[in-house]
Amino acid sequence: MTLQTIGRRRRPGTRTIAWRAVAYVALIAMSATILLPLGWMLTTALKPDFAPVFTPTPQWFPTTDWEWNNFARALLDPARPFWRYTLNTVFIVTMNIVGTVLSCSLVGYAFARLRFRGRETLFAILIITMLIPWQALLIPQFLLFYNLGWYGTMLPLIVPSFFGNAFFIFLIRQYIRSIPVELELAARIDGCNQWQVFRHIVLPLIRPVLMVCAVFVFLDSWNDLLGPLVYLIRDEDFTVAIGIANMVTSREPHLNLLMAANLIMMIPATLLYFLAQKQLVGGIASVGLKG
Amino acid sequence: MRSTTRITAILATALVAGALTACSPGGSSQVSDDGTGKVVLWYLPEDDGATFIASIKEAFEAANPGTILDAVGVPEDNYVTKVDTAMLANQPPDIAFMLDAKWIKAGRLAPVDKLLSDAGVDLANWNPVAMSSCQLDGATYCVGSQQFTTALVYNKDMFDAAGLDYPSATEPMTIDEFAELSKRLTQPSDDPAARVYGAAISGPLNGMTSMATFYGEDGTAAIGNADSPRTAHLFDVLAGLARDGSITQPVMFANKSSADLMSAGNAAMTIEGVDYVGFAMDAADRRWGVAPPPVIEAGDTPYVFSGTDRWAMLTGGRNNLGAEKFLSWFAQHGGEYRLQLDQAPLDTTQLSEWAEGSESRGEMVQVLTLATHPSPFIPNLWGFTGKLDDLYIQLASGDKTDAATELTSLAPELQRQLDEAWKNWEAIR
Amino acid sequence: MAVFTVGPIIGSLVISFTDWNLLSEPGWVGLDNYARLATDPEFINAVNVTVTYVIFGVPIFQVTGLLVALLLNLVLPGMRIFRTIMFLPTVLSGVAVAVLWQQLLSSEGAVNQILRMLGIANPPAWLTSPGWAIPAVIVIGVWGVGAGAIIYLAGLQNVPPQLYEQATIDGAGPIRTFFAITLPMLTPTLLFTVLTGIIGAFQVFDMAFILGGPKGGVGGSLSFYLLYVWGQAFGNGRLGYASALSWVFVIACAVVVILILRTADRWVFDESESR
Repeated sequence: MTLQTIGRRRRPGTRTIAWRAVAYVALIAMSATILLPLGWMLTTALKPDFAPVFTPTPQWFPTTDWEWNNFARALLDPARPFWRYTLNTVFIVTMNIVGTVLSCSLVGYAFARLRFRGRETLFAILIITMLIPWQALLIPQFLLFYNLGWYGTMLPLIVPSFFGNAFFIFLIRQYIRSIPVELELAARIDGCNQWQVFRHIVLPLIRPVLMVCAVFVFLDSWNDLLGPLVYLIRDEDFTVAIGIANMVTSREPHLNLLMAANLIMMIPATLLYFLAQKQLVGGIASVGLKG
Repeated sequence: MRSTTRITAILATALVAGALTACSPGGSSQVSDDGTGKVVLWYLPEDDGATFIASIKEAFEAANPGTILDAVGVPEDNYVTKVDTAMLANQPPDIAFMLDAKWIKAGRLAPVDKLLSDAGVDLANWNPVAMSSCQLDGATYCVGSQQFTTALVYNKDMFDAAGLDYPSATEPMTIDEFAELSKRLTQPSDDPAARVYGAAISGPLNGMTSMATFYGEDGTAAIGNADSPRTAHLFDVLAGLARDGSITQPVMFANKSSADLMSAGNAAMTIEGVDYVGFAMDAADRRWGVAPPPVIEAGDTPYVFSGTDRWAMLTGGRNNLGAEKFLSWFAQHGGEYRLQLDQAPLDTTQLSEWAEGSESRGEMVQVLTLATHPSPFIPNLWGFTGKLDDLYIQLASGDKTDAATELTSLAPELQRQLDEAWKNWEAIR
Repeated sequence: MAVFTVGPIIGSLVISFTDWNLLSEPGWVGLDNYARLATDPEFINAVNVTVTYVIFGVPIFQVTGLLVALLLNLVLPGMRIFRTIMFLPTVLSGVAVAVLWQQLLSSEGAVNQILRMLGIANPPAWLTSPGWAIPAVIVIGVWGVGAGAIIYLAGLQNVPPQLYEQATIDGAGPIRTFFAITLPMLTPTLLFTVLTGIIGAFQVFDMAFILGGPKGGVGGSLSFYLLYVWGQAFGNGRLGYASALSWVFVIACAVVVILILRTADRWVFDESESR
């Protein structure tokens, strides 16, 4: 893999020291604008209760207060069983990733490569469904799930993902369309059927975009607040997002605990992304496609 | 086409309702005829609510063997939606924090007057302003336990240093006197950390004055009130102070920063929740006092906001007997557990115990006796009254200058939205 | 999909012809809700705010997203770390981001302190200054542009390396290579990000809700369309009117989307059709 990933880069000659320096300066500047605010979050998370959070000059790095205990308080508050919430969230998130990747890769492939009557119309309708705001669908959808007897269960949060999602179908379709079609044609000539082409040729090729899907589905369902809140009614079914939202109140916002909890919340998604990068960057080069 | 069920039916048939077999919803609670079993309670985890609820749960269950209080915290921003949808699904909790008066209007909450008198609670001991948010057309629909007071909180050391007398806890100053005090307490500085504002004030709406100032005593007339010379004077004075730096710009920091400014010594006065600022001042070891907020003109009735937690019984709950048992127990004992957490209890007979040993708290109790006149009820108030806040922000920043002109042009729009809010309110049946 | 979307879609259409408030029996009001729109000044304001945001926000997000992706696509030591850092804002929940930026963009906040150091004496009050609220939301959007960048990044993996080799042999410089090879090969991804970017910009909700409150900021300057819909449905209890608002929204957005899809054949490079 290494040779190919390096080999696919542009003309080696342009990669001079100066070029690299410019790139590093840009990267470091961008990183700073992202990390400084996060430093402010950490500073806030480490403050004792009632210490002023909104100081006249922003404190970018923790200097005076080191209440590491806040992380434990945020996580171990008996009123908010975060371990339980985490288990529930992980379950919902995993089911959503599996459901979305399965259904959307199949449908996306069909829209990209199969020719059938009304394909373009169907595709346009799919795009239009993305336009309908969830604010308008919340109550009708609620009534539907309620009438299915799913109120108070996790089913409304899981089952729909197995029926596809317009955003990800569209994403995968576009990705497949940018892949050279020769490999698939060759496989067809070699006697593969449509399913085998999909399974053995297309699926490996679209791994980067499936990783993107997984990361986005993870983020969406990990941070989703309203869905779990509206459908779940027992505390033991609640998710991390509800637990965190319960820390923000207009009367007495424990901003230190809130920031601590949010910093902890970031860790799983960041780890997932860090690990997923290997898959994300690879694509065609990594399967060794020869033109 | 006249019923919810019709709409649901249309949906259901348009779909697959029959195709999938319904499984039973998770929240089934045992219905009992003696009030035992589970009592489901939804609460806002605000103000250490979780700690309070935990202590209440333990005590209530010990006193009522066989009854379990199943307390579920629901985030504030989506609380109303959560309760609304639960009502749609015919599975509301037995007890809920009352956040929206529309539930009373729609008959979803049970009146508790008889329950209270049976429990031996004398409503005269509960602050009338606090309880007004629980009442509609003379009936009471919720039960409280804690006393929230919004008043003027000031830093006593700063008054001493400036050689000024402390504000009276019984006689409100006028807004012009307040302006004078603010100016004298202000210490300008180019260094934001060394700057002292006479007062940290977020605007004319937040605890400063009754809504009657803007919408009249019955809460129906913006024209004639919001655009009156009195209201314009209030806006002009405050915005003038903000422009010359004697009070904070309304949006200088994010919300709740007034307590931060007070405890850090960057502000000498504020109009805020007394308990919240008081805790911050105590934590920072600063001496603080309490006074009623200023009035617009000498002789006006002072306005002190008083509020409480509001626990209501839902008519569609599964365990009505258990809910009654809980509310009745809570009405009698809720205040004790507030005291245990060092929070101000709603019952005035318990307040002295809370204030004992603290001069500042004593002043708050004194100021609270002025809280007799509730702000008028206005449906969907926060849906439109923010326009007044917006105007104040623009006046304070200098984007706009003449409050009277601006209020006169704003009043018809406020009136339109007010009328609409009342119309929507009346449509709730 | 059909099961869980089409049904509720029909449901919301039905509701848009009623005066349902969730609590009382709904009454049939025909087209009243749609007729009301014409005389609702808040509706006009919400349209203005949203369209302004779409027109200025979408191009800015697309260009910065692509630039960041190109930068992150370089093969340099430590790139995995930079890629992770750029992605961090995406991982943060909306509440934390909003609280953070409320502080940074307040009139005495960090952003303005930096602007003052740069010699700008009277920087705007951003979120609370009506003319500056939308630029503020765009700034926050740019901060979180890493999410869009990773879609571009995935798309960049698809450009066959031999095309670059060919360009190198032909003596093309990096800028020519970008316009002759990278950009055309990226057009399917571009179509996706532009379309979803526009839809996302029309549908801004969470950030506006937390930054400007349910009432939509100072002077309605953050009253994005769906925030207004939400306020009408769940604040004001007018679900019927909110549904009508939603349907007008869907139709308007559909026109924009269909226009873009119509032109797509002309500029989107499609492997399936071209070879």
